[in-house]
Amino acid sequence: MNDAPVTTVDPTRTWEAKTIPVPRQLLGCRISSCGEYVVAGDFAGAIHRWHLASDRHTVLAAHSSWVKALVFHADRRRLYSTDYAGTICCWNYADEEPQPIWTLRDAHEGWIRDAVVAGDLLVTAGNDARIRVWSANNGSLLRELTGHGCAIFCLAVHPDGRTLASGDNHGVIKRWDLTTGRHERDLNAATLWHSPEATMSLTGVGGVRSLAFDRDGATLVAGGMATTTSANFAQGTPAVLAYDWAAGSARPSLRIPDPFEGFITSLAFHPDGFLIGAGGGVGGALWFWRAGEQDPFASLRGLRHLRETHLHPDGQRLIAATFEARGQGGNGRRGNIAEYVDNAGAVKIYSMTPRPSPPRR
Amino acid sequence: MGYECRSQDHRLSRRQLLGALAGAATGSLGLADEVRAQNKQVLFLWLDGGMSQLESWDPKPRTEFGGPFRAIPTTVPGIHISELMPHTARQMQHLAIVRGMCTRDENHSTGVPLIQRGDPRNRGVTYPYLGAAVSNFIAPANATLPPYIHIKPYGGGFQYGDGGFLGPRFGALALGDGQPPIHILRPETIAEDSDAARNRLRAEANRRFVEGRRGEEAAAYDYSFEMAQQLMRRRELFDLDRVPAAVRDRYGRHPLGRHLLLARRLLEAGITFVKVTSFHWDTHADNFHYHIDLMNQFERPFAALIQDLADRGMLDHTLVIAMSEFGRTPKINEKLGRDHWPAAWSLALAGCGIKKGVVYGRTSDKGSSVADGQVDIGHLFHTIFAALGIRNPRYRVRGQPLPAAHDDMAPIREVLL
Repeated sequence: MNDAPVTTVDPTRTWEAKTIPVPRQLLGCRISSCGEYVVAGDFAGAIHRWHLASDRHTVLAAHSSWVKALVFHADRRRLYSTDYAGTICCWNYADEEPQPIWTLRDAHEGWIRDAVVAGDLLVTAGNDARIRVWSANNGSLLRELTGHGCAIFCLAVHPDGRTLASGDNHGVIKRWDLTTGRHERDLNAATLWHSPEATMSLTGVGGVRSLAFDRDGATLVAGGMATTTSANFAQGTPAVLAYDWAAGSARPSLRIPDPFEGFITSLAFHPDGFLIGAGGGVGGALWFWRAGEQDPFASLRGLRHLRETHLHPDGQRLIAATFEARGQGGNGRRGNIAEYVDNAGAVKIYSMTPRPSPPRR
Repeated sequence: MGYECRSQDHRLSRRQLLGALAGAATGSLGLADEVRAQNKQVLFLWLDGGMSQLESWDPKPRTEFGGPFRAIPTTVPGIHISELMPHTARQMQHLAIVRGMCTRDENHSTGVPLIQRGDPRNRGVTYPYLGAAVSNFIAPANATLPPYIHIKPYGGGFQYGDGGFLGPRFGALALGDGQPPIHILRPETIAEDSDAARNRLRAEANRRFVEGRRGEEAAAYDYSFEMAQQLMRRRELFDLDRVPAAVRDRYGRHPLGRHLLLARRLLEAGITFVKVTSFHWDTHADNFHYHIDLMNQFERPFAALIQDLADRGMLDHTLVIAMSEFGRTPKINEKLGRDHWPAAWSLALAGCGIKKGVVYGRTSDKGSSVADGQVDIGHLFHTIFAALGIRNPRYRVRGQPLPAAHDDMAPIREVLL
């Protein structure tokens, strides 16, 4: 990508600066705290690592199932990865050929959906409805937080470093004191859950798919799907709910005026104060809201499905794990079965700085 | 044959209808009587929308299209199924898995009737659904309960269309959400003699309605009412509160759990063909997240049912079939869903006439095609008829003999005893 030293961040001029194709589909991605490495987890259990300056690609191999949650420690050394078989691995991510420093198998029963780091604590959660707090140093289990009644999709650490928010499939957000494990409060995000009865399905659809705190921790936002017309197709409109964290009360929801079908898969507050929301469904989109405003001041639509996005520490770039279609899709079989190939993934880097002018000839 | 019924048929009793008409339909009355006397039964579990074969009977972990789930061993050495089926894995010694299903239709609207009618191609007539066909061939002539009951979500009623060319009488008595047809019951506020008078008035109204109308369909109104009345004489069957709580917990308190428990009770009561439908298996998005929940709703009560039928000795004369209209694409779409895939999918059989603990057919490493043992729905219908002891099943429609299943296909001998 073009690393020209442009410092002006202007989301209205966001553009796709780079695409790194990956042969397998991706679930999640992260940029390292040092800003030098991008990692993404794929369907084969591989973690792809790229050194941004050199484009060097390395595969970190230790997982046997889909890798979803990746999180960097603030120490600029360690990376934690989790998979859908309940395994956690800790890596020195900048090593030439990284190998796990330690591995926890069956850390959860089934899928681990999200992981966050709070100081020397690693916090994980998943389909077993449990939050587990581990020593980020050696992986020893410190405590378990129970209370969710269904799969937990996402976690967010408050800027105070000791309070946690967790969001689940049924639209419940719980507030926890990480130092004691005490459950402090529930926030109602029930509008993000569409029950089997409401959707005439066996499973329902929705849940809290993403969480983020603003910089001073006064506001928590939760992403998901506001309405749905079909659970089986996960058809519906994206939604961002907002909460006063101290009071535990709802604030006006943010609006998404554009026609779009899917979830808000990621949320992040920019250091300048605006909120970035990523949509994944039929295609993808990015929306940008200023603090205190309900309508987005910028958007970028017509993107690939955004499985996850993560803000670069420079505040100028956004990293995305995207879906890339390959070959025949949809119902039934057509053509030569030998050409029936899997869909793929890509890591895309979106720049929120003005696109550089082409060089003059 | 029912397709050509005349008005005198309407005055026949249900018992006469089943005996005489169905006997004629097979074209071999003696064989039919012999089969009927064996009191064979069928439990047909229909997972509408298309269960994923890769998340159930044919897992391919760590392959290109395999998804995130693991395979687990079963009670039969060498046979593995999805980790989403731990209870079913403990019943594998009773089951036969067919992994080589390859059918044609990739749409629900046409695929469901096509599969449930056995896809008899280019015959120019509407074939009966499996429940009607089986009832036609094997329902005991002296049965006191409806031969074909359909337990389903949402509404109930009488599903005339299932009878196809056999006629509307061979349709299914559908029990919406497994509830009995309670409107048949005499309300306590109505005295017995008043109720009898009401029924006489209804019968007279029906008689007048039938006059001058095409025979079969009009007669079926009365027939379905009679069937519902018969069923309500056994309304204790529907009272699941009589079942110990531990048993209800084994099946699950969700609709499919309750419906499969009710199905067991109806089979115990002697119903010939019980169909249980579960909707919403069409996982175009979040296939893997959904299948955790879906498979739990299916496989726990399914395993409980198999175990209960085996414990009661009922598997010897009860054929169990669990299937959908097709499978799901190996390829995973942008919403983490799987789409429709008729080219390579799986189903399970158990019980009457079926080998225990076997797998027939093999899909390719990718799961995208059948590599060995490819079979179509016609093979399955032949297999079902053969397992029930119905030899050379044929119909006669307007004097024309018709095969009950593709005459260019044959039973899957490898899964038959």
